[in-house]
Amino acid sequence: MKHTDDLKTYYRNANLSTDPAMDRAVLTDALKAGGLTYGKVPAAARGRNKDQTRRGSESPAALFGRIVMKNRVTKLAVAAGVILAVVLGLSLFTGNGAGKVYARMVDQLHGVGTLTYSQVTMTGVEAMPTVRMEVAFKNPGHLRTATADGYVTVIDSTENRFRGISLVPSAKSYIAFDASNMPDGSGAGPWVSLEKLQALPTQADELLGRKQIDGRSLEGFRVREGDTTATVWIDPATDALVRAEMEFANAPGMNVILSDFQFNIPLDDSLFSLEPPPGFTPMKTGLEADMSKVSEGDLIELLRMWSHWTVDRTFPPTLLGTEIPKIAMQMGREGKFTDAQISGYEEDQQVQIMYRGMLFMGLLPNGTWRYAGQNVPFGDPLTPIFWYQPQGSPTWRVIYADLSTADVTAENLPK
Amino acid sequence: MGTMLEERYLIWRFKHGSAEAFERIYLKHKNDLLKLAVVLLGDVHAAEDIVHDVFVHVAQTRGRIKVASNLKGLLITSVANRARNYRRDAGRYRNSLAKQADDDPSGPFEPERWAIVGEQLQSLSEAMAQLPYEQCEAVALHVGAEMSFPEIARIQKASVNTVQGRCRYGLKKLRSLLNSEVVR
Repeated sequence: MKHTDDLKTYYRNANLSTDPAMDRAVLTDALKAGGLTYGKVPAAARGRNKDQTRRGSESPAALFGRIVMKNRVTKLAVAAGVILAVVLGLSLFTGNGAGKVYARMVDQLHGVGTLTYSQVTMTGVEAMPTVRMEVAFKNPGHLRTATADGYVTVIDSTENRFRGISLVPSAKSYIAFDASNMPDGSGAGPWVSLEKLQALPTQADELLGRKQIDGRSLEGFRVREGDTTATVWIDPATDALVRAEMEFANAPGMNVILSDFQFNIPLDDSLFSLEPPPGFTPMKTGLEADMSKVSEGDLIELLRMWSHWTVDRTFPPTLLGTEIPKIAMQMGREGKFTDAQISGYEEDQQVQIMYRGMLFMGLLPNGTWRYAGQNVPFGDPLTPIFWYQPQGSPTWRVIYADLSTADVTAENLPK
Repeated sequence: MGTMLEERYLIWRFKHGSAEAFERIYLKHKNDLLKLAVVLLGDVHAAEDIVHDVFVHVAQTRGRIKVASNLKGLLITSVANRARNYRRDAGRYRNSLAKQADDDPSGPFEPERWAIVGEQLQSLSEAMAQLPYEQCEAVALHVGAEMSFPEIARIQKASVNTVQGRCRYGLKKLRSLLNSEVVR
């Protein structure tokens, strides 16, 4: 025998049928033990079902429609992607030691009222999409991100709080959210990061000389700071930042490119409205979180819940990118999600878990984390799926596929 | 209606007390489960007991089954777990073997069962019995029940690599044991 297929055929051809006496015994005992009856499904039994109670009488056809076309997990997963887009929009400008005082100082120095730019995030992982996003800021604290296919997020932030709304154009729906007690500096907007990028040439480790980019002659400077290598391209005629490229040693292949900066162009207030467009319906309301209480455990709960959602118990395809809503809908169409109830959580609880898990992701600065859970099923205690470096910590935290955790030194990180 | 929807409809009716739905589920899966149990245990009586218990338990706990469940996977897992428990019950297992040896020199398959079990399955079962149990279980679940390595790893509470190794070694030995049977 040369192939496993031969054995499969041999196994299939090995005939076996149950004894009629056994069939009778099983049916008799099981029907009695389970209280099963022949004939029409009793109406009383339908009433016992949790979903039925909520929706009233529902035909099997309607049930199938709900399961396949309106699978709640799909909807929740889409919401997860929207939330992820929100926190990723923020994450570029959080952490890195930027404080409120410095942010205010920079703001005063520049007196900038608006800023727009393009952001391209490449993950370096084949299965994960490249995310392209247009970003717009307007003082004080208004942020808008939009992808090419129309996923829009608007955030109104103060020093330690943000609230916002995300639109899912394909479903004509939106989700609203709120987070309080943001860590120091996270409400500072883009100015701090831009100021740091602008200042990088004075600290350059490497001068790259002149290069033609998009028809412009620019001067390049490269700076290495911790895990991050930043390359900035400056217009020597104006000293204006034209393009910034960031790479991360602990996230090989991942990079972020910022370009097309425009300052103080008129931006209508309507772009930053928290009111949904006409015809959009809420996916879920009341998403609230105290950021001071968001922790690694929230991400672990999110990963656990997602692995219960998927039929094959795999983790999310990515924790990065506004592509997740589309991926989630595709997974729903392909029947890759189970029923939401299977997770063992209430629906409201599931939304909160997603929200808090995504917020934790948003608190991690770029380049300080790596996700490797795509196509990995829950369970193996030796397979790392996520690792990150807590701020100020000399070691990294690693989360494994059984959702256990460990502290690991940088040299022992998964390759 | 697609296969997945049919399965979900069946589960939905079963959850809500339909004996017809349970009967269809039983008829659909009974032979595969019994074959798996026979291969794992090499004992038709024990295999029947286990399959009987699995279906009675499923009927008792129907309220906990989700409409979108992988029912086949759930049943297979349940059979595998019960077969393992049965084997681990050393006294019971030894007594069973001793009784079979006393009552039936031909082994655990009674002559009147031959028509039911079939010669090929007996050969397969006897060959599988020569494998270490973890290998036997991994091969049966992978080749017979067509489960993926991660699914088997969850059942065996082992790593995927370990399961793959068990399958590899088990299949190698099984090939040598069954070679003449398969060529035939």
